[in-house]
Amino acid sequence: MRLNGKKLRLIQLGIIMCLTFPISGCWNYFELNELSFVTAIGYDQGSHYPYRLTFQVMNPNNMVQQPIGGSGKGGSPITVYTGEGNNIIEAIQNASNKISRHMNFSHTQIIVIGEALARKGIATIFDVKERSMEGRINVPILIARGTTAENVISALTPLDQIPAYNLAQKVLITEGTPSKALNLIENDVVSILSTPGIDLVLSGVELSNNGKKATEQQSFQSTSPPLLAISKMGLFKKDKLVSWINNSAAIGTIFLLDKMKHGTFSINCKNKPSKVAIQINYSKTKVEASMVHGTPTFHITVRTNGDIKETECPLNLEDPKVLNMLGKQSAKKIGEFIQSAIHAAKQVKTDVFGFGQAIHRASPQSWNKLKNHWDDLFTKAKVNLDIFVNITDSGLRKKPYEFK
Amino acid sequence: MFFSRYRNRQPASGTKKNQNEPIDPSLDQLFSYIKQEFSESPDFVIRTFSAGNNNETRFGIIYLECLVDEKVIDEWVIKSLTLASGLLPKEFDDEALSFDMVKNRALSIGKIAILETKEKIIKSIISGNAVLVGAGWKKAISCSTASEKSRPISEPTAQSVIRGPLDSFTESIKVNLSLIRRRIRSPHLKVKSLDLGHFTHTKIFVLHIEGIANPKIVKDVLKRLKEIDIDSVLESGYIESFLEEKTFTPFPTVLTLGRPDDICGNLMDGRVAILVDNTPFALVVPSSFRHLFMASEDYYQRYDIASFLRLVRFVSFFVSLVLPSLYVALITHHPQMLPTSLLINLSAQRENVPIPTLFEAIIMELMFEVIREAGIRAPRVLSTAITIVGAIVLGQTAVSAGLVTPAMVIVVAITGLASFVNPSYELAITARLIRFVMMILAATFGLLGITLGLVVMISHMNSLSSFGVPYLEPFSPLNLKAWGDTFIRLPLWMIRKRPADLHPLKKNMIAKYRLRNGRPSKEEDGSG
Repeated sequence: MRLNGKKLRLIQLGIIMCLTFPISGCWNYFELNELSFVTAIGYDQGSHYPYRLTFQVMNPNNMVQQPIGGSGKGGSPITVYTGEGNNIIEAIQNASNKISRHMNFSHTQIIVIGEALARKGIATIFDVKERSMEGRINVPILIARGTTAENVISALTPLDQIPAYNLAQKVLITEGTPSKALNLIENDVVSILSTPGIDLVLSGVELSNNGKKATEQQSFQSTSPPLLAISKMGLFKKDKLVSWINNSAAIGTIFLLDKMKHGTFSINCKNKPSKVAIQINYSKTKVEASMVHGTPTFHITVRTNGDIKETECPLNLEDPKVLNMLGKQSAKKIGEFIQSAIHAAKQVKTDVFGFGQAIHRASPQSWNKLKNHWDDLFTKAKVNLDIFVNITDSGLRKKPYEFK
Repeated sequence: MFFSRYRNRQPASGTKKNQNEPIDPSLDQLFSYIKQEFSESPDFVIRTFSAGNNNETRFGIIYLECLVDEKVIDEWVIKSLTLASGLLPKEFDDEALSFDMVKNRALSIGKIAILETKEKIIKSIISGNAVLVGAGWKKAISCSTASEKSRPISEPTAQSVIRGPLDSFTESIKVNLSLIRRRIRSPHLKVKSLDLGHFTHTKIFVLHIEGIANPKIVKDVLKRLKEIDIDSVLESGYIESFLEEKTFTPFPTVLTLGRPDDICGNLMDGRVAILVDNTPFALVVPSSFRHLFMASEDYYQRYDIASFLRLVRFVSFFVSLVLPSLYVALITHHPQMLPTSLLINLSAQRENVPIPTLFEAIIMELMFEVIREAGIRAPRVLSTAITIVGAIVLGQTAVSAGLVTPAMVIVVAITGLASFVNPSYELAITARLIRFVMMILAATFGLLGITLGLVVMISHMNSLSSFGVPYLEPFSPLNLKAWGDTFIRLPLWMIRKRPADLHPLKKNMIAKYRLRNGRPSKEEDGSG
């Protein structure tokens, strides 16, 4: 058969189209009702195996207002499956024995790691996630404080039907306005774990049971149901959890990591016990490192704008001098936060602020010399603080109430 | 002659063999010949009468009763002939001279034609004329007595507007031409007449504007029309396929318009319009892809809303093309691309549906097509019943029976609505056909398949052209100046120029305008 140009081109086109069959890597035809979407994954130590994984799988049928004729069972919006194994993939496969559908990890909202496993080390659990095509690496990670990840993952939540979504939102909210948590996603965690000169700090999640069972829907009929709360931050040394920090140390850590958004703190007004509440609306932290006579020295500059949100004492807030005075007091307070954070970190010899990295950036030669004994050097590090707080606004009211 | 091929193929055809035979001077011979040709049809009439000073000259009027206006024949042919001939001089009785006398002085009818062959007599009778023959004549006179029985001009049913003229074409080509002539009162509007169809002898007018339309295009259109060798032309669609350069394509390369103002706008752009008798739609060539998104109303409304509506139309075309396939692809291949809350909603809907998503989509789309077709074909009385059955069965019952998901009903409904947005019905048909291919591609390859389909579709569109005008004309080849009248419509004084791809002889449609103090004002030298 002789081929003229047109026929040849048609055949070529046909071959090219056939070549698309193997290149379509995501060729993966699944109906939605053949998939089970995993919304949260919990990592724990198993009773017989090193790993015990918990999967929170959503039951869409019990979640949405039913279409006419649909058979709503009114059951739990989620189901929890667990599996144990010598490694993560084995644990996943052991869990999927129990599910009638193909597990899909693309809608995972949150990853929770149990405290026991976190103390043992978490580096090994991320490899499988990074390798798999499914699943995302922008999932926030939390540590279950004082409990197992399984308990956290199995807990139902009010307001949101998917507890994982609820938890992910809580991290976001807490990171935002109160600025009391860090929203670290899997990608950040992996990169921190593999970078020298910085250690990991992760937010914790707590289960406050209110004396009720969080896994039963009946508990949520009341107005004070069991709750999951973001609380405290866990300091890691390498990939192992070593201690928890709270309050001023936590706020200081967030300042040092330059993650402060809208945190609130209170200062004493003059020398009375009454307080003034300041909310930060902008904050920028710079860390500059230098070696002074063999001692690592860090010059920390914090520039903050704050608003007065509440005052208990009669101050003339129209007077710029008063505002300046409040600003100076605020700067002092922030200095205290930062000092207590550094103190807490020095106690466990873990450099969660990335001071090592700052030295690496400032002078790579000296970092090469001291990187092997950085843990000890870090405890001797000196810190100079340069903090300036600008009080910009006192709200709709200028003068406070004057009570008789 | 374009009859020649036909004659060679069918030499036995009765009407063709005597084409050039002269007219018999003997009336009886002529009558019997014509009677034989018409096989004594019941509507065939030969009226003989005598006139002249001595009532000695015999005349005959031959016509088809159903085609002529008999009042006109009575009043303006027979009456005037019999009355006038009595007042005429003696020479009238002379057979040789009577022909000129009758033609010049006795007939009081407006339009006549002189016929010299028998063939032409037959043709003239069929066209609805009355043919006057006289004893001893070698010629016959055809009197224009055809009755113009046509539907009154009504509102357009296919292309309705809110702002704009509300007249539309009827079945009568004369009325249609008059509607155009009334809008373009210029001798430059040239009309060329053609006869197509060996049996139907359908009248076809080719219109263009001299001095604007490129003569090459006009010549090409006429040439292609003359090459058509066909038995019957019942609608403009018969000749449309001969004007397309590529037949095997879902994209229309000839525009069909039912509104005279639309046609006039296209004529003024430099295009060629083709009117076909008995068709309330006219054809316009050359036509490109963007042309299908333009409505005449765009130019009547203010430019801002017109631009917005253009964008809506382009988006709707895309929606009606790919929405069901996008839905299928996302549901079956890429659930990770849906927001979680939407995914929960959709998977709850799919939970108890037994049909795979692809078939669900195809079945629903087909059902929609069935309802649409039933709505058109069913007797008008039943259309309410069809709407109710369609809406209830598809919208409500199928969902409550758990056979289809409500989301799918929404997708099909949006797709259907989007396909009605375009002023061109042909384009909606295109989208309807390609949609099914896209759905299958989406179910096999996901988004990759849709991309592949679109790539193939666009490269195919790029291979199309209409009378030398590339189909994807302002995009490929790129002509940024024409974009002012594509996705958006700029104010007319900013467009100024006619579409350059038509190569019009007169390039500017508006003389130069310049904004002065915020108002356009005419420059002194701004002409042409």
